[in-house]
Amino acid sequence: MRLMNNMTEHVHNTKRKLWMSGGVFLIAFVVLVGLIIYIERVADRVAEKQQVFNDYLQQENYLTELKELMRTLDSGRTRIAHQFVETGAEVDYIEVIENLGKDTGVELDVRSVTRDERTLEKKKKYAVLRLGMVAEGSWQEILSFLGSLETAPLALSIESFDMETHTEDTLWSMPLIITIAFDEPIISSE
Amino acid sequence: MIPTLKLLNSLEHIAVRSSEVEDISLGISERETTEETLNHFSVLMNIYKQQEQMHPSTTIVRLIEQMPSTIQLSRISFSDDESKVTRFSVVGKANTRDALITYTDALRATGLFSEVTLPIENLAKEKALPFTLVLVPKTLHEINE
Repeated sequence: MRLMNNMTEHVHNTKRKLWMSGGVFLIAFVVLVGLIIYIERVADRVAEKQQVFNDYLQQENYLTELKELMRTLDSGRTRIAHQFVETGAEVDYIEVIENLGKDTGVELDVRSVTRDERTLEKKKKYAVLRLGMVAEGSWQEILSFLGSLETAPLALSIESFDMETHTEDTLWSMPLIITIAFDEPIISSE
Repeated sequence: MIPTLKLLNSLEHIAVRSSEVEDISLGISERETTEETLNHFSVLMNIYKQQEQMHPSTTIVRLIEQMPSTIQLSRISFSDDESKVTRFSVVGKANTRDALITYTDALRATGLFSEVTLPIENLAKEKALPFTLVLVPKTLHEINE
């Protein structure tokens, strides 16, 4: 009888241990599955962040290339920019033209200074400084002045001139209109 | 354990690089400024290109080179208004009809003009003919073709 009781108790203990082991295993399994799901979600977030980072990295490369291009163009850019009229410094450019007149020996009289617009392309215009003047001098001086305007390091365009003499080999008179582009943003007309 | 460790490594990596991302974000505003500057430069270049013209003085020199001693010029006008066709107008006096016709033909032969017009009325007189020639210069593009 006692032996029977011992055996029953032993079986009961073994069953309890088995149930407990099974329970622990189940809990461990559930925790592991939960952990795996968590890791996958975090891994997805990591991948997203990595993608964002890569995008930023691409933009940084683009910026580096732009900076390099800027460095390469810098001296030329400054030189080109000086050929355009800086707003507020119009007088300096008028003086440049007057000096060209002096250098070539013509009597130059600047008679009008206006701001105007020229068409760059459809619906896009740019501002110009428009100068009306009269140059007087010998044939050679007039031609030399014209040549110096054409080759001046300025974004200059000769709009019109009318050189005339009344008596051969004497004084030539040349009313002319020139424009110099402003260093300003494009004017869009809708 | 291995995936967990990998994950932790990645998180650490992101934490370190996120500070760099902030630097890059600052760089983006710099990029916009740089792009703006380059665009403006490109516009200036387009304006410059647009203003490029055949030098009128070069044309005048050719007018004189082709001119025989029997022709005298008293006026040379030039107009390059964007609303009109670029043109030269030459006023002078020719000793004879032949001299004027020869001069006109010589100007046509230079290849500098797309049009050389001598109005027929200019040939009314036989001697000491006052004349007005109208010349349309070729563009730089047309000349280089």
